[in-house]
Amino acid sequence: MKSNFLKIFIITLLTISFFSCSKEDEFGASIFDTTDSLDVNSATYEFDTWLKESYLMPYNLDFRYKLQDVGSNQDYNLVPTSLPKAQQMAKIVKYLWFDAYGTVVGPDFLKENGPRIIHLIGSPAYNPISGTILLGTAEGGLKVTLYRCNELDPTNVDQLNDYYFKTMHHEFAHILHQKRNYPVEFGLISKGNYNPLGWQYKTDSEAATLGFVSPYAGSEKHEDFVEIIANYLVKSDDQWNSILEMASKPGVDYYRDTLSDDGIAGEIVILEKLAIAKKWLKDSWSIDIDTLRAEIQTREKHIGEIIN
Amino acid sequence: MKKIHYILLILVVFLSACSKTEDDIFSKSPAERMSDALETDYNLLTSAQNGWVMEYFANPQSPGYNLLVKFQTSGQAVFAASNEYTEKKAYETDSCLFEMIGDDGPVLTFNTFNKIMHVFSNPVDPNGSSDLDGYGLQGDYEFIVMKADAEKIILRGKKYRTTVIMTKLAENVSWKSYVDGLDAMNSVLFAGNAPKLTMTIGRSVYSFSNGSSHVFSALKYAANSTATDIPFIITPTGIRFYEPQDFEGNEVQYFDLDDEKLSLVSVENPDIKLVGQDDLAFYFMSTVKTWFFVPDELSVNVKTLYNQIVESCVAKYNAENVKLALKYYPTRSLFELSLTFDTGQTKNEGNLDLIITNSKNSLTILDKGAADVNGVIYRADVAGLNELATLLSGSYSLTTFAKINPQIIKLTDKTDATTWISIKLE
Repeated sequence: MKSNFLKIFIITLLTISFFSCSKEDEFGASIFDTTDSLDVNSATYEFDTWLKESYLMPYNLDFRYKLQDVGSNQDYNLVPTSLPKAQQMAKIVKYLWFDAYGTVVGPDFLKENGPRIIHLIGSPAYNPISGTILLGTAEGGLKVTLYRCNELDPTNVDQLNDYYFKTMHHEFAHILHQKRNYPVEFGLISKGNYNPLGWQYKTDSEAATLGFVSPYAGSEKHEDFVEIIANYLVKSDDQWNSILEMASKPGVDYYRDTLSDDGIAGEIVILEKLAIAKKWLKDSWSIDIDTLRAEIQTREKHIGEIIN
Repeated sequence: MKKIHYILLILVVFLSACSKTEDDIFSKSPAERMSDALETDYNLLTSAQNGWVMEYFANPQSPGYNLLVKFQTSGQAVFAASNEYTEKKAYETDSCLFEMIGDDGPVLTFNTFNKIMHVFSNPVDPNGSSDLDGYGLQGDYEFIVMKADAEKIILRGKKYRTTVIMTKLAENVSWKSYVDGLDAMNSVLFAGNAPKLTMTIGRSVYSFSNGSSHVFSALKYAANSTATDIPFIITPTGIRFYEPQDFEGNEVQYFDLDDEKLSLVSVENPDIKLVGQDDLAFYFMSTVKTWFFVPDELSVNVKTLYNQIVESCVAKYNAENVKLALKYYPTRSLFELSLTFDTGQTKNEGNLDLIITNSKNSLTILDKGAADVNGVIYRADVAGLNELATLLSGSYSLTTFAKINPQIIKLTDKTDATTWISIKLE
């Protein structure tokens, strides 16, 4: 029953977008001080140097592995990430996210569109009252926060995707659609079926029959849009097809009771949404999502080689 | 005319006041002063060559934990501890990064995770209670430096506002032996079923129970009295309450174990004591519990009979887990020499009736010759049992290692010091 309450969700803080929608930003000088020399006597000199060379210089990105309490949500009880887990996470994020996009879309894409800060948090952020936990946030397209990093297990690809990489692609898709909006027709497909307050009480099956790839996708249209992209990118063919299969059957609730027919062809709805997302990525960003997906999933097989 | 003079005078005073600039109270700007404070605190933290003893209370309601921490100039902090949250509840070390940052004043932050220290602030409850998910032990990992010198640093948790004291550890002390010393003190004071301690001030008497949780429940013996929780921490010489407590107008916080190992004596007022069991015989008589024989701590003649009884039970009944004990049997209102053993899933018990009387630290035992149904059978069938009951009849002096928490009581025959038995609560 714990899973009934510990439904994982992702909140994106849709504050005023950091980026302008009407004009491309120039990729100019770093907003961070890249000249600041590192302390050779520091216990983390080697790692800090790697971060500078791998994130700060090429991507204008500050990879914050030390918990900054003032930079986190004070409503939660949080703890930092351990240094070894932070080091693993830094390498995996670069390999599975930045380098994957670099290979498929080009090296400048994330320089221009990626976040400027990645902040690691060791623990989940619990919402004890609603029984949910926060996995990640993206604030104004500027900062991505990843939680639960102390549970990182590089040998468990499904866990990596569930805890972190689905979150990263989810948050990054928010950044992209805040810069270039997706077609209005997407929001009309499931209009009337979104449930901002009760989504966490739906099972995966129940959500799928309504045409959502996850319960959280059923919370509202922006989340629906980015969940389609994130799930399609990280799920294997078998996993993706199992969502479609679930969507084509009658839904079941937490007690495994079959729900009455909702009259929605969930599988067709999901595929319709995916088609819109694919076209938007191609037309607006020149991203072939299938090529990107293949690149990510090929890389997932080689994680063990890059973390040592 | 007079009025206009007053107005002019006031104007002159105000104008002259406005023309003067405020003198700077401080010679440096706030930013410079903060920077200086951070540097000073950092230097103090790293100056302790053998590190610090951090007396950590997660919050004002929680027990105290001793953590050892050494701050290295590389920015690394090495921690060590032994408590219920360390691996196998044994001595363990781990490290993390630390920084002095200007935040809510000069703040010491441990900004990467280590399992010794961050277990107290982790929202994942280490005790596994899902009801507490999101809260954990509600401790801090960021601390405002309230006061600091080369010997002592006082911190206050940024979120839960708990006071944490760090004391410089002497350079010639090994961390392991220091932690072992604290474990030993804890064992003396609170191991096993530690009994209540008593504080007497004039005509007022208080009981202190739940000591092994390191949060006393203090109750005054008086009408309508309610218990007060008093968190404390083990020190090398005794205990320290989280904060000073007032008893009948006396403020106390630090207590040292006396040489007799009978009492924790207030450092602030030596007349105030938390007293253990001064009269072991009374303690034995007043605990309706089972006191088991300690097989490795018996005189030769008792041990011989003990072994004979065990072997006889094994041979006759195919018995396992054979035990002998002294206990009070409430339904018979009698003390008993109790023989218990298992046969498969069945637990067997036979009791031989004893008459036991007490005076201070002294017991007189008499085999009454009677027994319950099983006791009658065992007395007849189990070799050595009747002889043991007979041997036990006599007067005994009672001693223990630490009267503040008697875990094993030794009964020595007053007329024959070569006859003795040791009993313990389980």
